[in-house]
Amino acid sequence: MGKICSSIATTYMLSNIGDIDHCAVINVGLCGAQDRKHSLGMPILINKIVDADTSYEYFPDIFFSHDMVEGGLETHGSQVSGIYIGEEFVDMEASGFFEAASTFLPPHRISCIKVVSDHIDGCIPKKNELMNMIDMSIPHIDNVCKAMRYNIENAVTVLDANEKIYLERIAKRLRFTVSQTYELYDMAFKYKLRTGKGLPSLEYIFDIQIESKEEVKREFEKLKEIFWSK
Amino acid sequence: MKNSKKYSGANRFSHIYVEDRALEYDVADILLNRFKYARIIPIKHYKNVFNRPRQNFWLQKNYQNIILAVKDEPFLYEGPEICENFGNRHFYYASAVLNCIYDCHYCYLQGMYQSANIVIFVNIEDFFKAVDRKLSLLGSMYLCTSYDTDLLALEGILPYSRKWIEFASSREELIMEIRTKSANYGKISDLAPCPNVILAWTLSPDEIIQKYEKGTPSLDARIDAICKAIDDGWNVRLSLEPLIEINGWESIYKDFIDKVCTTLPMDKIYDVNVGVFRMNREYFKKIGKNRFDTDIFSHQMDVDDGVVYYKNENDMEVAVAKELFKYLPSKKIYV
Repeated sequence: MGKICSSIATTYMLSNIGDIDHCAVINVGLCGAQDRKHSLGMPILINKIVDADTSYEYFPDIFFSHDMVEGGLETHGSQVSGIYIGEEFVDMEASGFFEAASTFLPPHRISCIKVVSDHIDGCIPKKNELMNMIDMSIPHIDNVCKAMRYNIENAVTVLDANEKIYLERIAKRLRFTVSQTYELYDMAFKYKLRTGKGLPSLEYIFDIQIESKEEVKREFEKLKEIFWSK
Repeated sequence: MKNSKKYSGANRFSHIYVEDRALEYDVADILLNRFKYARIIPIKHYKNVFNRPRQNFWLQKNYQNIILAVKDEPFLYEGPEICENFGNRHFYYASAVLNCIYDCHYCYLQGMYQSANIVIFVNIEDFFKAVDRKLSLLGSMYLCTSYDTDLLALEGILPYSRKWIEFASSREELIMEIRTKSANYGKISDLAPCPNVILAWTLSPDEIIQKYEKGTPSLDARIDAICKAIDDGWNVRLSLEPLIEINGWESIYKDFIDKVCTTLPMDKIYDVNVGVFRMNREYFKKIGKNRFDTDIFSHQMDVDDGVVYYKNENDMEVAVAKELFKYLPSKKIYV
């Protein structure tokens, strides 16, 4: 595939995801191993990626337990054989993937799992052998998916989805500007943190008819008083 | 695949990132031996890990890792205006370690740094040389060595407080402060007290410690450590900061000062400083947007010259200073 294509594919995929805040991305692929102690079919959780052309280094944050071997991976623009590489493993995609994914996601929501498909001084296995290696690695890959998913699903939030919708309705009803809407979210967020209570009832707003900018301002000030009350 | 637990990423210090050039230093050897279970990841420069974009400081704090690096110039920074210089000229600070093992909700480091990982600069001797150069230029210096970290809290794994004290002991023209919240005094109690070194303990009421100073020792544990240090003849500074506005702060801080001042031999205290919670506006905004487990950043604050502070800052300072005046002469109190 190559790192340019992996970068384009990652960008395409992530830019089409609506809820990027609740998303993680994992690059699963094949790699070559420098040392024969890493046997064919072994899944490796990558903790460092080096781009061989630019020498740039990339590091995912691994915030979960796992039972895989970890290692550093070097991404080359062309096939590597019989030459020294700085890292334990080599591939042709990961740096492009990681660089692109980093523009969308934090490093703890980017992961890279590579299955050892060959040794640098050895021969390339056949397609069915490669498919078998990936099959054998699925449980490990699944564990990483679950761990990353768990971290996303259990991320602490202050305003839940319903409260966000409620605030959005209020902002729409009161014809708030974009900046007033942001401030409304911020005030509500801080109100909850400060008081430890849920949002105050603001149902009266839905009976109000806004006719002028002055009325918008007046209602905004009223909300400020409510949210900043002790 | 054996020893799989070795590769768990869910432990503190499960990974140690090491700059290639840091491997030449003894400190790196000591730490790598201390954390044999950790996965070692060679890196070119610490900033490649530390300054990555979009890191989640607060999540990372739960899975803190170590970065071993070699510091390049500058080794010393001029003391910031926001910090008390205690009447000293030539106020500098040195940061041989970046970040802290504690997780105080109000800490400015979470606004200042991209990463919660702990950077340890292994070339401490280069810091010493820089201090010597500055001393020969200025004649004297007031140096704080534990600003962007808590050095004594790390003493069990990294004996930098000891090294700084040993360095200062032969340099009378240097006044050095080591600030801490730890109760780790035992790790340096074998050293002879050094007249030009001040051990500064940051103290807060237990109500504040329990709510906002995650992972730090209790007030009693800190007071015990202070008593031992005073008994051994050390200069001890009490740093009552940051004062935090919580419900009933007047009585909470009054009881706290009564407790501290009646338990400790106040006549032997070197000095005390009092400071209300303040923070750079940008740091305040950044933390307030991202930290969901505290109410510290959800109050209405005043802003002056880029610094955020409580609307009743003066009331708090005056109230606490007034209590202190009952126990200490005013010349020993810095507000």
